[in-house]
Parts: sequence; C-alpha cells; structure tokens
Amino acid sequence: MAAGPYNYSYIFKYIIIGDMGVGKSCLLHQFTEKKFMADCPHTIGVEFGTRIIEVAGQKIKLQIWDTAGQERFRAVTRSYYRGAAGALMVYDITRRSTYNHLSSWLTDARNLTNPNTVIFLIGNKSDLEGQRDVTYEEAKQFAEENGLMFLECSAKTGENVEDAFLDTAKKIYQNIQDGSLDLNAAESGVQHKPSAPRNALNTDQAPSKEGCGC
Amino acid sequence: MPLFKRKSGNVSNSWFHFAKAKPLPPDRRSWAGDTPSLSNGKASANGSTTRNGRCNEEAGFSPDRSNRPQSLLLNSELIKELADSGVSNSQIESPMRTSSRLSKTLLEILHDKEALPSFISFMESQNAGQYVRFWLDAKSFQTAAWTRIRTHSLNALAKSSLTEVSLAGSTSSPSRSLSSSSSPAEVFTEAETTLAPATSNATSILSPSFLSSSAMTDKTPAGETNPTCRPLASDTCNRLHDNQCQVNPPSSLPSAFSSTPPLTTTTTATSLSSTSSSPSYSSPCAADSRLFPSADMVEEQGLPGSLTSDKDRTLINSSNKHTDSDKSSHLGASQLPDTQLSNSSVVNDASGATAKDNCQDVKLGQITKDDGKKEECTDNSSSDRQVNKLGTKLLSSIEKDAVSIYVKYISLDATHSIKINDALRNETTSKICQEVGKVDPECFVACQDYVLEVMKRDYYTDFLHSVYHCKHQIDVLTSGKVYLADILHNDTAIFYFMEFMEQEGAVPLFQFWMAAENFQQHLSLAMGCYDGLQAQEDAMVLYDKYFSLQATEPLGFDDTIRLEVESNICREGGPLPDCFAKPKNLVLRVIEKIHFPSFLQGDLYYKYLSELINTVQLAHDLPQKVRRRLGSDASSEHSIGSQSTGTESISSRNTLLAADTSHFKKAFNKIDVDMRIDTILLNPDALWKRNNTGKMSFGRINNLGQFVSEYDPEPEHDKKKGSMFFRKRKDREKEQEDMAVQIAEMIIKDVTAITQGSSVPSNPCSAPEQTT
Repeated sequence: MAAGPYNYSYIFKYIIIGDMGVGKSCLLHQFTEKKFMADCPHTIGVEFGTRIIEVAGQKIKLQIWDTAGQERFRAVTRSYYRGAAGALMVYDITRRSTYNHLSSWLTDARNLTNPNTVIFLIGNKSDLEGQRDVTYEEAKQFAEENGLMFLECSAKTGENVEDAFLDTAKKIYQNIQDGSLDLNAAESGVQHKPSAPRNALNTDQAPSKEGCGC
Repeated sequence: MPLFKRKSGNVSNSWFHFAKAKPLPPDRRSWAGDTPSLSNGKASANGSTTRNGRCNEEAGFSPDRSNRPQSLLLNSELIKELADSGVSNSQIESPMRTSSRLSKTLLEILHDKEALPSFISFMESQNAGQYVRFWLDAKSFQTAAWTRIRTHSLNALAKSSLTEVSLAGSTSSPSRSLSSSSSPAEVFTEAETTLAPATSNATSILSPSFLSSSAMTDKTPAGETNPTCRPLASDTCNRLHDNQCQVNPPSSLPSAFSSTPPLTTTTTATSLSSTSSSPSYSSPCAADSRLFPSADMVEEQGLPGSLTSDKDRTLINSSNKHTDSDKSSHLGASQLPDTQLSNSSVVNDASGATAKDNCQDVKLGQITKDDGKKEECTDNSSSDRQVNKLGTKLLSSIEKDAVSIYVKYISLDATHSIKINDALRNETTSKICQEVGKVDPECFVACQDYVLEVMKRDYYTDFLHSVYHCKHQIDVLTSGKVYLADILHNDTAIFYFMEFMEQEGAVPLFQFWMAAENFQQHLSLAMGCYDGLQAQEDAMVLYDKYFSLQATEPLGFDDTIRLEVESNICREGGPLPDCFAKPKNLVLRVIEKIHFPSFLQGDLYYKYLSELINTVQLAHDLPQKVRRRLGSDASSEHSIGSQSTGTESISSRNTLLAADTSHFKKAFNKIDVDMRIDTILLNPDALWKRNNTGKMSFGRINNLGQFVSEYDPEPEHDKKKGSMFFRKRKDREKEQEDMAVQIAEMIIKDVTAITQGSSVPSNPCSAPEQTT
C-alpha cells in the first residue's frame, strides 16, 4: 500500500465470478483492505477494487472487477468478462449448489474471455469446516480435469486469500514471459508500463540496448 | 486509503482539488439550512484567499485528510456548475449514450455502413464471404419484392374493390417482417443510425416527384402500347444486371457517381417526346438511387415510409374512383389517372428496385437507352394496355430476382453455396414456385435466419478478435469524434478508462454510474416482469451506499436529488428502471466534462490506441513467422523475441510522445509519427542482419577459403554450419598429427640406417629401440 500511483510495471485485469452469497465481495474486500466485512450488501452489477502486489521483483497492479452473482444480473455482468487476464471462480464449500453451478460459470468464462485467461477456482468459507458440503478432493479433481488452479480460502480469516490472487498473478506473469500471452494485444487484460514521462525516458533506453545486444 | 491520499497529491490538477476543498465549511452550514447564495459567496471568498500564497494552500491541506469531505465538496461544486447547462445538453447526449461503436452485435454490424466493410473483408478472409453476401442480397430482395408487389396492387385497385383487401393484407406483412428481422432495441438503433440519411431521403424525394410531374405534363391521353417481344428483351437485361448488382452490393457509391450522365440524357429524352411511361418509370427511380450510396440503408428507410405512402395512395385512389363512377368516364379517361398513380407510387418508393434500376442505367449506357426509346416510339400504336404490361413486368422481375439468388446461393450446384440442408432448400423452393404463380417475398427469410445463426456461431466471435475489427476500432477512435459512450460500453476500453479514473481519484463517481447503469439495464431486460420488492432492495443498496445521510461512499448529491430518488424507490409497485436516471445522467455529465477530455489526451488512451495498432502490425508480420517456422524452432523463437523487444520500445516511445502533446490535432499527427517510428525502427534490424552476415562470411574466408560460397545464401543457417565446421576442424587436426608422426618416423629410420650402417652385428639391437 505504500507504493506510489506510478510505481508498477504491469496492470492485470481480474474478474470475480460465482453464485450469489459465496463471498466474492468479501474476498475482494479482504484482499484490498485486509479485513472482513461481515454485513456485506449484495453487489449491483459490478464493483471495482485495486491493489499493488509484487511478482518476481515486478510491481503489478491488480484491477479487480467484482461481479454480481444473482442470475438476473448475469446478462449485464457478462459485458465485463472480455479482456480479463485472470478469472477467479468462487463457490461456497458449505453449499453444494454453488459448486454444482461451476460448470455454467466456467462455460461463460471460457466463451467470453481470451483463451489465455488464467482461471482460478476458489472454495470460500474454509473456516466453516463443520458445515462442509463439498470435499477438497472432489473440487481438486474438478479443477484438474478443467485445467484450473485451485485453493480453499476463507474471506473471514484471510486464509489463502492472498495466495489465490498472487498465484493467479504469477501464472499470468509466467505466460507473459513464455510469450503465450501477447502483451501487445489490446484485449489481453494486461497493460505494460503505463508510466509517467520520467519513467518513459528511463525505459526508452533499455530496450534500445537490448536491441543492440541482439 | 493512504494510497488515495498520496494519489491526490500526485494528480496534475491537485491545485484544483485544493480549491474545491476550501468551501468545506459553507457546505456543512448549507446542510443546517443556510441559503445557497450565502454559501456561494463564502466559497468565492475562500477561493480568492487560496490564491494568496502557499501558506494558505498548506493550511487547506488539512481538511483533505478525510476522504469523505473532499468527495462531497468536489461533486457539490461541479453539480452546481453543470446544473446551469440545462436539459438541452442532456438531450443532445442521449442518442449516443446507450451503446458503443467499438462493440456491436452482429445485426448492428450488418446494418452499419462503416463496420460492414470490415466484416465482409473478414468473412472473405475465412472463405465464408458468401454468407454475408447472401444475407445482404436476400434482404435487398425482400424489400424490393414488397415494393413491387405494392406497386402492382395499386394498379389492380383501379379494377376492383376486392383488391383493396389484399392490399391491406400485404401492407401488414412488411411490418411483421421488419419486426421479425430485428429486436425493438435494434430497430431503434437502426433508426438512430439512419437519422441523417432519412432527412436526405425526404429532400431527395421532392426532386423525382418534380421530374415525374414534368414528364406527365407532356403525355397525351392516347393509349400507349409495347410490342410483345419488348418485355422479353427487357427481362433478359434485368436479369443480367441484377446479377451484376448482387455481385457488388457494397460498391453502390461508385455506381451512384458514374450514373450522373444517364440522368441528363433521360430527362432530355423524356421532355422531347410523348413516349410511353416506361422511360419515366425508370428515370425517377434512378434519380432516387443516385442520391444514396448505400442501398441497404435506403431500403431500411424506404419500407416504413412506403407504408405511410400506401395509406395515402389508398385514400386518394378511393376518392378518384368515386369521382370516376359519378362521371361515368370512358376507358381513355380512366387510364390516365392509373398511370399517374403508378408512377407517383414508384417515385415515392425508396426501395431496392431503384438500386437495381440504377445499375441498369449504368450498365446499359447512353447509346443503348436511346435506341430503346426509339423502338418504343415506333411501336406506339399498339393496342395493349400499358398498365397490364407494367404489372406483369414487375411480377416477373421479382421471379427473376428470386431465381438468380436461388441459383447462386441455394441450389445444389450453386457457385456460392451457403450449404443449407435439403429440408430448408425444399421449403424455399416451394415458396418461390407457389401454385398461384407468384413468388413469396419472404421466401428467403428462413435461409436468412440460418445464415445469421451460422455467422453468429462460427464467425462473429473470431471477427471480434480479428485484425479487421481492430482496424475498424482504430478508425472509430481516430475519427476525431470519440464519444464517452464509445468507451463506457466497450469492455476493453473501459479497462483503460477505469485505470485513468483511479489515477484521478474519481473511482466512486464512476462506480456509482456503473451500478446505476447495471440496475437500469437488468430491470429493462426483464421487460416489466420483475419482482418489485426485489428491485426495491437493490435500489436500497445503492441508496444506502451513495445517497443516504449515513452513506458509506457519499458523492455529494443535494437534497433535491436525494428526495427524488427516495420517492422513486418508495413508488408503489416497486421502482422503475429509471429510478436513478437523474443522478446517473448528472454523474455522466460530470465525467464527460471533467474527466473524459483529460483521458483522451492522457497516456492511457494512447497506450490503448498503440496496442490496437500493434495488433494490426503483428498480423502483417504473421506470414513471415510462418516461413521462419519452416526453418527451425530455435531461430523462430529468437525472431519472435526480437519483435517483442521492438514493439515494447515502440510502446515506450509512444508513451513518451503522448506525454508531450496537448492538442488533439497534434495528437492526431502524433499517430502518424508513430508510424514513422516503426519505419525507423525497422532499419536497425536490417543493418544488424547485414552486419552479422558480413562477419560470418569474413570468418569463413580466413579459415577455409573453399567453404565461403556455401554459407552466404542462407544467413539463418550460419550457426549450425559453424558448429559442423568446428567438428571438421578437430578431425583434420587429428589427421595432420598422424601424418606428422609418420613423417617423423621416416626421418628417424633414415638417420638410424646411416648411423649404424658400418656395424652389421648391431642391427638387431637398433630395430627394437625404434619400435619402442
């Protein structure tokens, strides 16, 4: 939080999707404010949060779009899917119906985002072990079958929340390094070095040197 | 929130924020009941105080520590300023507010003259151009067929009152077909899109009418006829030119320009002679189409207009008929009114038929048309009724059009097959070959729906990710007229705009707008069948967050708006979709006037543009990548990496240049500069390659002259052959060593033989030593 507004190298766009009541907004609040919001009103359409993290020595700003989970908002929130570099798909481990609907959310995510979008499966409310309705192994298998990353988190205690967002960013950053994510495509969900003039001057020379090296 | 505080300090218009922060006390008092004039006066005084020096500014910083007061004050001041601009501003904005030109639905693309060329190019690059062309041809056919059927029906009205019933039936069908082709929202969008052309349409209709009136004045009441063979020749020409029209629907603009001379000729010919009405039939129609570059757009406008025109014609005709019956007029007298009705109707129909007639004029040329008129003069004495011939001609031309479209796209051996199944083909065939002998104007509707579904399922998504769509977006964004709606309703652009708003510290403002927009949209989508109580709960969430006196993110709306919102929420039966319309539009205007201009001149906007441009350029480089992949994976990856480095430096330089620009015109020039930068950057790569090639070649000459010629033609293989050469070198060194050893042995033998030649007994002793 101490970082200045221009002190980052990349901006990644995230979307958070999943049924209503699974804790999407609480996850966002826990990640951006580091505290739990007990009486969270339901989201109308979409809400927005940001935070700057560090991956492999690079400052990365996450632009997180938290969507409404109600079915009646689904047609409206779909318009925010395109251009997301990462998608966090959330279900509630104490409610099996939210897990059963993941296939539908996954289909939406796959159809409306880029092929290179990193999709992370999150089982929220891991602190309510006594009311567990979906086993870790079952969800883990679903994640592996569909090529998703997976973690169980608790927005209440903060367990694994940080890791979920960070691991997604690491995966995206790795895709950038591999070249599988085209950094210059307008719909990649990634902005690169949107820096102030001073920074531009500094970065302008480095690429030239690299060019000479080639 | 510490992050927010620091941003406030860094934002370029920080002084502006400080100035706005000053009026804090007056606004608080206004809550207690102070008069607005009093608070305004105090605000002004505080503003002037701020300018006196830094010490005041520093003192003013203290109130900024709280996020809440700053947000309130900022918006209070802006709202007061903008309230004076009045409603007219809102009305001007409203047509552009509901959609973005950067992201259109498939139907919107098909009806947009600017986006359609990109889509056609894309479809042809996928070898699927026949789908979109069929859809356009079928749409033109449907509109033209309805128009011609109405014309024919008007003629029949003169004979029997029963025909009026069928006319009423046929007029209702176009409305139905129009509704079925697009949803109400899209119809509204089309209406907006074609608003300006509609105005031109109204103006242009007057000219053809005038021409028609002049032509009719010259006519004699005598009956006019055509030879039997004439219709056949005419139909043949129609069919030929219809095909030519269909091949190039998008290129009607050049046709319009090139058809100017025939208009003059036709007018002259008409005024000089009292020929039959056929020439006057075609010339006004041609005049119509010459004024419209896009036949599709004209057709969209022509259909509803024609409906109105139909009603007028029906009334007029009824009146005429009544007059005729009273006067017991003879055959000759009744024929003239029929002719006038027929031509007047044709003149007022801006339809696909006019587009085809226009093409006929272009293709026939001046000489042919003159010859045609002479023939008609010669055969003027024929006794056939002109009206019947005209009607027959219209119906047969519909049939010709339908058959040509069928043969081209639908039949089993079609040249541009759209690959429909047998059931659909049979259905279409039965509609074209009806028992009555007339072609159903909607015979292609089912095929159109099929083609639309195919395009939506297989090609639309790819189009949105294609270079062609990127080019279209770049055209829109660099047209000099970018609207806020273009950014807000495009999910990629909004990504950059949101980042900009956060840098400006205005996220709550924009977040409220999004929430209100989503609230309105999802209720509108429900078409009035939503749960009032649930909608009220949704509305209360927004109210508690932004409007309530205990709001978690107050924006500073005044009491008037808050009370209005409260009454909207508590409305019996639940809130309406426009519950937050007033505050939402107010916020939109604030964003549009304060933040949007800065965004268009900021780094992020040009970052967005440069990425779109880079996407297009990378696609241009794609063919080269394919060749490199044939070589080797290693070199291919290396090349891609090199390009990536280049594009990054391009982005950096773009950012640098963007920061230096303040005017939009300069910004536009800067885009050209970006192109030049690309050109400049390409040169170093070329030089680099040449240098490497030279060095490698030189190295080969120094070591082994005989291998130089093998390496020059293929620079990419230099590395591999270099390594092979290194291995060969090792082998040869070994060979040389062996030879040296052998030579040494020979020398030793000779010397030994000479030295020990004198002593015979010692020879056996020397041999073992040499061996050792």
